[in-house]
Amino acid sequence: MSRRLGMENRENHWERLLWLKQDYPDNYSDPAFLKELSEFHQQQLLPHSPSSYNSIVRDFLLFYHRVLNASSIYVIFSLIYYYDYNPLQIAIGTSLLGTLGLVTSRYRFVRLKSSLIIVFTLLNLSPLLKSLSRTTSSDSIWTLSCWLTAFYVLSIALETTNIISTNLLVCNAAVLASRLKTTTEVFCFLLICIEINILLPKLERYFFSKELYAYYAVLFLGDHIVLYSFVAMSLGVPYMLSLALFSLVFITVLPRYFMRWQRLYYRGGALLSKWDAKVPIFN
Amino acid sequence: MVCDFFFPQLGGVEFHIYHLSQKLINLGHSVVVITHSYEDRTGIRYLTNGLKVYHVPYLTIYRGTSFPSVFSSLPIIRNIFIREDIDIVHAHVSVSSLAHESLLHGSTMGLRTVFTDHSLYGFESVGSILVNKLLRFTLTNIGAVICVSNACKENMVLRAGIAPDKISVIPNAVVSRDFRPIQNKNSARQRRNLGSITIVVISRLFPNKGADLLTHVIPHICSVDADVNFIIAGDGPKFVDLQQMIETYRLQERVQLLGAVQHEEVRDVMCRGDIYLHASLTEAFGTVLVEAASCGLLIVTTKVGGIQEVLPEHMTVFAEATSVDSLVSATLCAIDSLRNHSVNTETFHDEVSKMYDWTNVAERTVKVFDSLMACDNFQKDWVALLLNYGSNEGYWAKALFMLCAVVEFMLYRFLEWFYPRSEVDKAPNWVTRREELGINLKINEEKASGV
Repeated sequence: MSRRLGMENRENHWERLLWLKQDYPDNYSDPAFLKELSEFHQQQLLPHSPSSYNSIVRDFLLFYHRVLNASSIYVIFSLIYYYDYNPLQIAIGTSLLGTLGLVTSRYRFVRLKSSLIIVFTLLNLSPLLKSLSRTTSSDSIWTLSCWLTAFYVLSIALETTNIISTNLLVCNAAVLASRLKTTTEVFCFLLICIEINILLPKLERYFFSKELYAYYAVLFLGDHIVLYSFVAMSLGVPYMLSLALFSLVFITVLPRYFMRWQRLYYRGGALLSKWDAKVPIFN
Repeated sequence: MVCDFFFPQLGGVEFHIYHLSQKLINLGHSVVVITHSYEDRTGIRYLTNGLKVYHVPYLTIYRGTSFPSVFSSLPIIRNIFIREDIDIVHAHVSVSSLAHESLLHGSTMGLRTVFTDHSLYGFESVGSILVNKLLRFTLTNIGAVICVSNACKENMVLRAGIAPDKISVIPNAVVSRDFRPIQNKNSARQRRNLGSITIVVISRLFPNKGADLLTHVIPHICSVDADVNFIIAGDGPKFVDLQQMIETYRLQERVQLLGAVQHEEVRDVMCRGDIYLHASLTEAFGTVLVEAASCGLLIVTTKVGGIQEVLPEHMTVFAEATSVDSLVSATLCAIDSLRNHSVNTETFHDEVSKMYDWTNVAERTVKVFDSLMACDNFQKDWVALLLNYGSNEGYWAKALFMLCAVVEFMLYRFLEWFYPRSEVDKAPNWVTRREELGINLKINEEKASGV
């Protein structure tokens, strides 16, 4: 109570109080803060450990792999639509590979019953999906599909719930399916899409979590071979090379930039998060 | 004074600018406020005491902020600065694009510039990164910065990369006669019911104001103490949550939801309570705490941002963490100390009125202005200004800043030729009544240093 009015305060040391009238200029800085600030600047100059760089590269790699998987839907579609490949052969091939993968992993996340239900539902829906957006012009379908893919990639990047990305994927496949000629093609196309974009990532995640990196690498390489050879076949080798270069930059250079951002804007120690709104604790 | 936020809109910043301007006028300076137009309020208006307000017709985009255009405001802002014979440009709020643009134009025209910030910003969201970059650009050539608390100052140092000694801490204030406690409060309480405690919450009901905490804290306290009632004023997205809380716990008799209240009514609402509960998760200063203490309420609050600096310990009970548990125990502690009379809230009003006063704020602000005016080596050299922009961090940002500055200089040169200073009408100064009566001639002489 001795310093209640503040006026009597003649102590020499500065106090971090606004209500107290002190004999210090208004631009006086808290010495504790100045110390913290200089430590912070020194910390910013320090290089970061390579382990954090590796972990960021790994995250970028995983994301890049998911995007590759997502774009394989277009590979399959163009093979059937433009190049008149027999969809039945591709479907049988991917299904066999899928079964093989499941057997090797001995990972029974897909029960026989539910897979059969999905297959029969697809069989039933195929004629419906084929005629569903038949009257829409192709240009609109491409635009729609492009946006759906963009949202799909975004949903992966933001790690939203599985249900959102699955819905977006099925939507995209259904929209594209209306351009195909026969019901068999539609069925095979949907089946392949589901296998590549839902089963394959699950399998990959399983391998990754069990640290079966060799298996993972096989799948990773397989993806690349299919996609890059398709690009080389349809667009030409220069396009393939530029895609490879772009991917390389994405995986190796972008993490550096990302780390720079992290260092400047977020992970600068406790100091930078001091002013964020506190998290309410409901206990 | 330049800011996007001003009367007829009401809020902390708006009141700050208004009261500061009024006190500066009383101290003998001439003050002009520049803001954007509000609906049909366009052009020049006069408020009390001859405070001239320019409502510039700009497109507003988000929550009353004008459309950021960097250069397009130069002609009219330059015109106003010349017309009013401005020496110092004082901009407010870092999300106000008008404020940033006028700082840029002001330093281009060779005027002294001051910037006041009123809130805290984070570093991790896209929005705050953009605002911080913008701050770095416009504050590169700033003369002085004013922050409302030490927490706000430290935030500013990191966000805008300004030297700490360039930033002064000058707190907000309250008009204490607008926040008087009711007379004979204790007898009023006795009439009501001895021992019964009313807790007041006045806050916009947003997540960052701790509305979620309130929905958990209130039923907890109601279940522990049967003689406690709540009055909650304010509106926002969490209003529905509070309504649901009241229905779930059947607290209709004990918790009163008022919705939004006018600023004039705030004091009356506060005076109906004994304790003010503040659950905010972020706060630069917390004027509402000072207002509540001035009304004679005991304060229960979280310890975030600059709150700890605002009021002395005997007026507040702090919750150690932003958790339900610590808020509940702090509130119960406050209730106990009121019941066994270990705190005397009757003296709060007089104490607060001595601590926070707008005249004091204005005097301290004038000190900042004076130190700027006294500074001889003030940079008017464009090359030096340009090099300052170039000394910022970041390759892209640096190049962009310098490009903007060069374009700005060129536009300014063009305007000087196209619309020379000599052709701009000078506005006559408003003659205050005191000057008219010749009572305070001294002030008139000092008026040469206008604001």
